[in-house]
Amino acid sequence: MAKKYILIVDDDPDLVETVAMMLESRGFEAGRAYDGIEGEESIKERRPDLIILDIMMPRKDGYVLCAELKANKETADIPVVLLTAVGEAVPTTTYTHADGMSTEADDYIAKPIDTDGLMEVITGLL
Amino acid sequence: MNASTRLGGFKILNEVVWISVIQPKEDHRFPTAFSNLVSSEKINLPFLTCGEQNQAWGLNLVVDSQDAEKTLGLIEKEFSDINPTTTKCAILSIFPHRSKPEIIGVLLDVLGKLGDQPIAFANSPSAISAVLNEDVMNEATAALFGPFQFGPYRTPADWKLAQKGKEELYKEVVASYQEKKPKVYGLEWQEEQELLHVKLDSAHLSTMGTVFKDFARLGLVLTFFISRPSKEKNKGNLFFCLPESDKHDYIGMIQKLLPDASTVEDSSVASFSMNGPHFGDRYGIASELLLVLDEVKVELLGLSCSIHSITGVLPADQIHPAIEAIQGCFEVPSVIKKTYSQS
Repeated sequence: MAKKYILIVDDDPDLVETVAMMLESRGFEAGRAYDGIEGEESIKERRPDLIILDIMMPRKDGYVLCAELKANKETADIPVVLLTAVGEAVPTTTYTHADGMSTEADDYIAKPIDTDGLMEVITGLL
Repeated sequence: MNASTRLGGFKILNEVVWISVIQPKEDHRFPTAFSNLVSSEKINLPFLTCGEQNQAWGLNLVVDSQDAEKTLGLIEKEFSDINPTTTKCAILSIFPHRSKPEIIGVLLDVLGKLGDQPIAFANSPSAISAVLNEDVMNEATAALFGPFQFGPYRTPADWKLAQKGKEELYKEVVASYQEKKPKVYGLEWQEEQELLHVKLDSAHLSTMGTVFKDFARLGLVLTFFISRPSKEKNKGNLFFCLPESDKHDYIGMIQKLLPDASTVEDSSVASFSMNGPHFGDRYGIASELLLVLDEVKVELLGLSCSIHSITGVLPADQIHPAIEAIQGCFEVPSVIKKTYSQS
């Protein structure tokens, strides 16, 4: 059986690598993209089974990319898990948890990532 | 090794200043005292390495150009017997290296052929960072294309176009975090490592790249890689970790290609990496880590802060007290022990 392909989109390459290694060790195939536009291009190149999407990113943030994916009938059914630390650690940010809940993302996970929690969310969506 | 290695990307931090300091007398707490001093003035460090040689610490640090004068003033005031070296520079970081020595090998090969030698190196769990004189950054960027491919960016011009606005966001985010107990996104560690120290002519960097490609052919993984400043002109000091092995003669492999290099091997070490929001550059994070390691009398052997992570090397029997100490002062959701299969 082919491995499920999960795309991780975050501008922190160290976090992308940590999550990718976590997923690969559990039998998934991990794709990596480092901002919203790279994520968009990566999705066009290869359709992922699930996307883990950071919110605060340069060029195109996670909210915008998520909204675009959900508005496009080609990609609307790809599960999107938003990943963020906003609202707690970044007092100056304009992003809030409420914004996250108002998107059409399929689920929402806060950093730092609880490994078991993330796996539970992924398993539930695939 | 393919003719061209595909990577995810690279980034450049411009308008920064490299400062190197070598402590003149033995003091194991020097990195702690130094980083605490810089942190007290809220100076972000986009790059920091600490390496010990002959019981003297050597530090490479990079600060924003607007903080350079303040940093030098602090050094003069608190460490008047230190004579720092400074250069206007930029930091080039390529990712992800996936702990493969061939990525560093190719990078050293590319950068070793530039008109001006690289100033310093560091690694994070995903990236290798090189501090370069700002005058050679365009040449360095162009030279990366060919040996490496970078996802959607086929040419240096493609890449440049995509960078607009990134650096501003990066600096804004670095300056904005203020948690009381910083959250660690990931803390991982590995044991059964050897720390190698190689002192070589700077002109032989490309040959050292070939040594790393030889390590890659053995299926080895590289978990730590920094440089330490040298007092001797045209000499470089590299520190790196490879898996402990009775099977492979690392020093023999280095001396086969670099017979004049001086090498030291420190077996039975462990390394750890902690990733968090801009942990590789925010003021206060390295300082807090070094303070807590000092408190539990952990003997640090090397440190690398870059990108979003801090990576440290210490004697293997001190890794558990170190992890416990980190868990005491940072919010750590999980600790992962990494293991690598050795060939």
